[in-house]
Amino acid sequence: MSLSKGVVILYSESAQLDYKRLSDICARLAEKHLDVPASIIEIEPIQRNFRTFRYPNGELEGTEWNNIGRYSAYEISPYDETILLDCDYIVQSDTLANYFGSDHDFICHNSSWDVTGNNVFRHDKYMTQNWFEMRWATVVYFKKNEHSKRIFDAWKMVYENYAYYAELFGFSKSPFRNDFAMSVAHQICNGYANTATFDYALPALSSSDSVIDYANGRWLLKYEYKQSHNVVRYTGDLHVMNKRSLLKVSDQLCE
Amino acid sequence: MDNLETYAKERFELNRQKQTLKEQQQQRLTVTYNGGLFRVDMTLLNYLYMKNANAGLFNQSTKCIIPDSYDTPVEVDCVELVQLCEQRWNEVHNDWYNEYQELKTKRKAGDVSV
Repeated sequence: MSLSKGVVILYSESAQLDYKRLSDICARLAEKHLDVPASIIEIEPIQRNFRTFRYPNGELEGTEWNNIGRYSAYEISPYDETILLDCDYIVQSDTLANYFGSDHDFICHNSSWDVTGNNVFRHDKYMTQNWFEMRWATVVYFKKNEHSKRIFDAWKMVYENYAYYAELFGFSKSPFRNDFAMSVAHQICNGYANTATFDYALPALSSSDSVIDYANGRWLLKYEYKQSHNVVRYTGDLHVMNKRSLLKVSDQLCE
Repeated sequence: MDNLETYAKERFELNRQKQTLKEQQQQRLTVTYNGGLFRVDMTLLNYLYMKNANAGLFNQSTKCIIPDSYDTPVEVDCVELVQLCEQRWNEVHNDWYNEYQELKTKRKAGDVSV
């Protein structure tokens, strides 16, 4: 019997950003490139979480960040094999489709790559001063089986006891970060070995850089380097942390 | 004046663009075969070419077991796998070449479009 495959996108409403719109775009493009159905599921925010972003003009914005319930994806997903995506991850290739049908139970990224070449994520390789390796919860592939369930259960346990784990491993207990909770769960359930990760880094654009234009699978990105504004062209999947600029090209992305 | 200053500050750096092109293409160099995930590189291609040459010259089997990118041993038919790998290699490198040819003469931000 063949296993059902699909993409799941979880989101919560926010007054500041149209996460529903982002989720729709993310789902549409995932369906197009990965050739599987995508399900958008709204989750009720369990607690309000805030995060501060620095935008290209230097402006700081405290944004509501309600993606805490991602550990429930195992129960919510209607598929046997799922790719769980953040709504700001835009699929532009069939690379992720390679993982459907593979022998893996649960895979995530263990590094993020700044597509502008500024290498802003170099400090995110480790999440503590004693070199505890970080994982990214932006893109997660999992099968419904015992091992994956164990990781999701551990993820929830870390969320419920976040202050304790923050103290134990040595990271900040506020604000709550899914990446950290999942990293702890993933490491515990894999014997603290650097395994079960994607074999390429997560392509990402930081919140201080922006999308200028998009057409036919090509991104035109603006980044800051030594007080000058430069551009770079990029083709492929992209995690766009500057969601405002992503919304500005939403019509082009849907064409 | 403000516009001129802004224009002067907006640059296009070919070396960075080359690095971005390289990374973006390399993440596509993966194929799945018999439950395994293989990174298509020159080492894998060379091994497969050698196995196929030996199969033709010395009547050896084209089947073998090799580790995939995750160190999982996978049984492969070298004829089938080399076809998959070559197809992916050519797709990616053609795109890479075309993009580079288009971008190599650009020097200003305004010259670059999508």
